[in-house]
Amino acid sequence: MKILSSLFFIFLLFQNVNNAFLTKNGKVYFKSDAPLELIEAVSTDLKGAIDTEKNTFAFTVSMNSFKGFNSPLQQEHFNENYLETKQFPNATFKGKIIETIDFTKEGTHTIRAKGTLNIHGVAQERIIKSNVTIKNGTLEVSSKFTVLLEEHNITIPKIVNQKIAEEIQVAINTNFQKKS
Amino acid sequence: MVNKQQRLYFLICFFYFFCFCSLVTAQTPHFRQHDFEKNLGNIQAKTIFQDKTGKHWIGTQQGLYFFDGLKYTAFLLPDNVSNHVTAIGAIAKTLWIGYDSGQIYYLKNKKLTLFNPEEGLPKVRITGILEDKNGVIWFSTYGEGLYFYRNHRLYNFNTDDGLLGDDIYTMAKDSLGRIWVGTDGGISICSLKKEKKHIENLTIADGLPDMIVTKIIAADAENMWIGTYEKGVCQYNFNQKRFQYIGKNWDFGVVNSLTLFEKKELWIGTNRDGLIKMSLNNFLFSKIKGYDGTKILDTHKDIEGNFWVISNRFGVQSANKQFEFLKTDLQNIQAILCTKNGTHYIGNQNGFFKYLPDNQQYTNLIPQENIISLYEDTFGNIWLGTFGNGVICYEPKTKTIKKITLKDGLPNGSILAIAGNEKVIWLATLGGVVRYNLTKNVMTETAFDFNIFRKKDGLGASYVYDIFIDKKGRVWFGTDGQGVSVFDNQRFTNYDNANGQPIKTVYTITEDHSGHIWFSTAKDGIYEFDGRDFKQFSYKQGLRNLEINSLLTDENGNILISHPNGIDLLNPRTKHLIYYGEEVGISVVEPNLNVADVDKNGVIWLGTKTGIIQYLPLHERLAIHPHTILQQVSIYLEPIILDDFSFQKENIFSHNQNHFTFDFIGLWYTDPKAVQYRYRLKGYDLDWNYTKDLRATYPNLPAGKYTFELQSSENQSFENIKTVQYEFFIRSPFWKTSWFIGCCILILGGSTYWLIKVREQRLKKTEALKKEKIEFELQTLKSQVNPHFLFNSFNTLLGIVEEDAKMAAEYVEKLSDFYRNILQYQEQTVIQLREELTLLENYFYLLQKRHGDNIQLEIKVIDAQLNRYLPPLTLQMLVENAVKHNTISKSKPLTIVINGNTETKLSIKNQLQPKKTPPISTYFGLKSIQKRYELLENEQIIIHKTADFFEVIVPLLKEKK
Repeated sequence: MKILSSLFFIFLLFQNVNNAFLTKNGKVYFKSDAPLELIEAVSTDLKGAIDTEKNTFAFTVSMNSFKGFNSPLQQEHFNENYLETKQFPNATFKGKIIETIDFTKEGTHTIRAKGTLNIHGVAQERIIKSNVTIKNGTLEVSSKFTVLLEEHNITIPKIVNQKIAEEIQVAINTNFQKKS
Repeated sequence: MVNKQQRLYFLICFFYFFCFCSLVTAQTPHFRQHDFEKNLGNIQAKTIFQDKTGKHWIGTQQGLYFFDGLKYTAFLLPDNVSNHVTAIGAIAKTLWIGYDSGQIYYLKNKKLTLFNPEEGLPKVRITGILEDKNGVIWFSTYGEGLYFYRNHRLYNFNTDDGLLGDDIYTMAKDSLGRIWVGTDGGISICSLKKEKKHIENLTIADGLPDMIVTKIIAADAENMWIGTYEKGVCQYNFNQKRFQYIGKNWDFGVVNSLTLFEKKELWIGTNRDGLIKMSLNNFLFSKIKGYDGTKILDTHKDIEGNFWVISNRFGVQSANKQFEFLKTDLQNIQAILCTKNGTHYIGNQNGFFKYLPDNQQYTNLIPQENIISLYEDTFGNIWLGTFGNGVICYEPKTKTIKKITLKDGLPNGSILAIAGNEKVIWLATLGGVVRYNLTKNVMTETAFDFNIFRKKDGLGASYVYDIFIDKKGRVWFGTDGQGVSVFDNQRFTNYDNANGQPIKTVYTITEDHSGHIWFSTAKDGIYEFDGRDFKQFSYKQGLRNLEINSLLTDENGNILISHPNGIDLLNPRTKHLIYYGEEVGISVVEPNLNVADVDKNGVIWLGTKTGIIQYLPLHERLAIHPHTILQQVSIYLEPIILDDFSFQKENIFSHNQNHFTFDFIGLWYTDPKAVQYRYRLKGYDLDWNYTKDLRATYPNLPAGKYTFELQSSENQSFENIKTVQYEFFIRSPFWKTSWFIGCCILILGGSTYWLIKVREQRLKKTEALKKEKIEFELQTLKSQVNPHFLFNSFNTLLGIVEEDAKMAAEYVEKLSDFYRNILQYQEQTVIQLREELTLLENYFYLLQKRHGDNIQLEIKVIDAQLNRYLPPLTLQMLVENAVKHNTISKSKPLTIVINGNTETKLSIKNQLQPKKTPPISTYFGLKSIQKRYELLENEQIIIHKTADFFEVIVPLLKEKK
């Protein structure tokens, strides 16, 4: 609930900003390539906002929105045992962009977003490298990064250990529209 | 108007002087130029770093360079990448390099490898790289704040986290492992407390003299030195949280670099005013000559005590910080004195001079006197020994003079040396030594009570060059021609021979920290006297020159030996010598004896022809030997080991990898050209090889275990020198290995055994065959000569003889042929079918003569079969059997068919018409044939017996056995 409200707060914050870009159906893909099993899932429920004036950003994704598991049982484990989505329904990332780029100019930039990544209720400071393409007044943001389960207090029973990688690879791809 | 201008000028001058009142211009070390080789192009050095192996790395605008003291080696990035190095650091044993572009590389296997974290690299200049005690790597940037890399992840500290600025000029680590960064807003002290970012800030409010902090270095366990943008330097004690601001009158602009020499000196590199030296005894600044208007980019102190400066004007320079030089026009300095209050005086034949540091001038206090010795007594009076005019006592405060001459009781007016302590003063005159009890200030003395000692009083000789009072209060005299004399317990002891060798003239005396007395002689070098024995120290021990001018013991207990070639620094315990000469700036040392003194700071002053040398011994343990590095090992000139740190691995090579080349270097930045090497390959060389080359080659090494041992030395002595080792093993070729030889022996033995076995079997077989044959022969003979056959034959013959004599003759002929054939073929194991058929025809002729047309033989063989083999008499015996067992009559004729339908088989077939009374059969015939086939070829004969016919199929053999 706390996170949800904080997210709500973020969006409220961005409501008052003029130079904001928003996205509502960004794509988040994750992959756990463990020795015994490859788990992949996708969510198209990534919401985010970028304030080009203050160079700040915020992202959130509902953990329940991930689809495409190998089996319903796997999804159930994912939601109930590992990520405890009832307790921690969302993953968030908010912070500031290190680079200062001109969002009005078309082109592709590599930027680094420095912020707090909150997964499973554990906040970690991260720098995430992303590619931003500015075209026709929209932003296409894509990035790839890894999440260490240990860093976010996600514990996995020993036997399942071999089925879930300690390092989860995450890829994000989303289109931002200028707030109208 | 004029008045106003004058007043203004006066004011400016006043302020100028006020500002500079703490500034002294002083002696400088001798800087050596280390220019980049011309072929490298215009290289602009920016930063210098010494790694843990002792290597110096120079970061330049055009790339990273390794400098070995003589030449530069480039480590460059590809052309399309900026090579502008802005920071160098060592993480564990690896060198890391930060670039102006924000890129970070590390040196792995002599190749620059991009540091490529998932988070990406900064996009702005890297200003510092270091590792804290927890193994976290810190990068400071100019524009993006501070980064740290922990557990394979890069994190950032910037203004959002509380950092005072994102533009970091400098980064340093304190004794607690915290990271100090200097920014435009002050100092941020960053650390990770329980893995959480923690920042503590120091700003003007805390007492920082300037907001902009451009340089920070750690001074000791609790102090940091801080250089600022415009307010000079200050020291901060982080335990007491107290600033000590020194540079109140700072007017040298931006501090770019700081280098600390113990608690003695802080060297400050400025952005536009060159090098400033600050003495930590009195906090006075001195500007180093020759660097006016120079931008100092970096300064550094290396492990040998060398001071390195990188500037925009001179590039890379280094100096041995222990030696500094003061230039003077004064000729032929005969005496030098450093007083307790820090003033120094010199004496020559033109007078007595005081040094005025402010205008770097000497002023002649007592002209027209020829001063040959100087001494400061406990009252602060200076005793001047003159040549011929006795002693002059000079009181510096009042500048009054008191002369002591022959009239006052001096035995001679020439004073070669003066020594003393709180109670007594000793004067060495050309007419014996004088002892004077210092009971009161000499300036107030009216009558002198001199004790005079000459040769007749027990002194070795009346002519004394040097007087030395040791720690026990004994007074030592260096005499002319008679060795040393020591005055102890009111009496003299003379030492005029060492181990039977005369000592003769002694010029100068000193005492080491273990109480041994060292003295130099005119021709025999130096003697060490431990109270009992004398030990000579001469060329053999490494002394470069025997014309020794002075001996002095420094604060560290080392003995400074000055001679015309320079200075040899001797460790009296280990006897290790370090040579100093032109490399550190020492040219010609003044030939006059004992022109040396030690000041209250432990600085040794030596007079030379062109000025004064100051030697400031550093207390810290400096490297005294070259750093020996095995740079590369190659096989057939192909490097196999590139990484400087991976020598511990197992090194096993095959027999054809046996051409070894070792590339090495001994880093001795004090005097790189002096380095000599010796190496040996244990297991190959019997003795050391001495060389100045940087390479050793061993072609064609036989298999075995080897250890390459390498030492380097700067002074040709390899005593107590660390050996660098590289162990390796060359395997024997596989045909020389024991397992291979073992296998060979096994195989050989096995095959021999097998051969013997086979042969044995064959022999057995042959034996059996032979036996069988003999038996067969016997049986055949028996059967052929059996009476029935003969009876039949003869009966037949009888019949023929009566009818046809001619035919009878033919019959007998055939009979004898038959027997001859039998005899002939019995010897052989096999015969050709052709021969057997001839034999059979003879036999059949005999049969036909008896049975007439009642017996028929049909032979249908193909030509190919005729050349094949079979045991002899096989067919004859089978035909004989057929005749023997079957009825032959007109009504029942017997036809025997020999049919060769396949090439390898022959069938002998007859219809079965058994006799009414069957003959007694031994079955010898068939059995014998069968047996022989088995022995010969393991072939079987096939016997078909039906109600109607009897058939035997015998194989035809291909070869003669």
